[in-house]
Amino acid sequence: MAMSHSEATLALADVARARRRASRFLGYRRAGPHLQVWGLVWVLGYGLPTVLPDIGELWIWAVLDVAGVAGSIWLSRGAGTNDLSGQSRKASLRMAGAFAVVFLFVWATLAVMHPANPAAWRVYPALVLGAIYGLLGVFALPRFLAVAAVVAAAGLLAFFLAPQVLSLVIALVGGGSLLLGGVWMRRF
Amino acid sequence: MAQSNEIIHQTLRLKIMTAVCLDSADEAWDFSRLKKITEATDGNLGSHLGILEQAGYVSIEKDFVGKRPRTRVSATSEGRRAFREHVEYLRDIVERVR
Repeated sequence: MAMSHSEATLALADVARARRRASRFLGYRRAGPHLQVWGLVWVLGYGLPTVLPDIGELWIWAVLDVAGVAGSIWLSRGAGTNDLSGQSRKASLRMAGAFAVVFLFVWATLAVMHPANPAAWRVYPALVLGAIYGLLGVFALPRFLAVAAVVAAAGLLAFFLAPQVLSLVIALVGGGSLLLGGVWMRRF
Repeated sequence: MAQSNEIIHQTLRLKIMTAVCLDSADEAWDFSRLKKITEATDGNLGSHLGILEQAGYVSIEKDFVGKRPRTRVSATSEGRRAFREHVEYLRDIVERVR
């Protein structure tokens, strides 16, 4: 039986809606484990200098960034998620690349701007990450908006109101929100 | 001109095929995830998956993760082709009126 124009339009709208939901689901499932890896990096990166002040902060970050990128690549190869192959692996690898670009950008900007206030060094990555996750939330995966808001707000509030505990706040609230955000996204 | 596919045309089956034929998804979909995406009930989803499986459009694997049963659904190449043709048919109808 031939289909009418309105039936076809409705069916195409159903296809578009289901495609959006399925894409969103895949996006969250792929992003979740990466977010957890970087959450752990943040907890350690901002937390360790507080407990081990003798070890240089930059060294800690250098090691953790390498570990974070390695972790993201490991996840992209299928470990930690179910049956990633072909297209899925390529998409996850792109995501790992995106994380690496963000961290390199933060390092490069700090090296060029060289802020005099040590607190500015510490809060800057939280603001950059907040902006990137915010954009990701606006354009594709709305749950990133909540993570972005928590990471950026925690950094800003601590910078202006409690700079003496800035690192601890970013470690616990920022890193914690990345870890929990990862769990939240995996459960979408 | 592409042809209408009476099996895929039904709303829930169209949603199921959209999810399993997603370009970026070449892995199987868990039943529970498909349920969320299609907003269907267990029974409804199960019966429509059965129809799609009978038509050779999806393959269904059942196994256990620990003690929990798991049902995974993926599109067959025949299913992908049929879905593509049906969407083409829908687009033809919409375009013809413009």
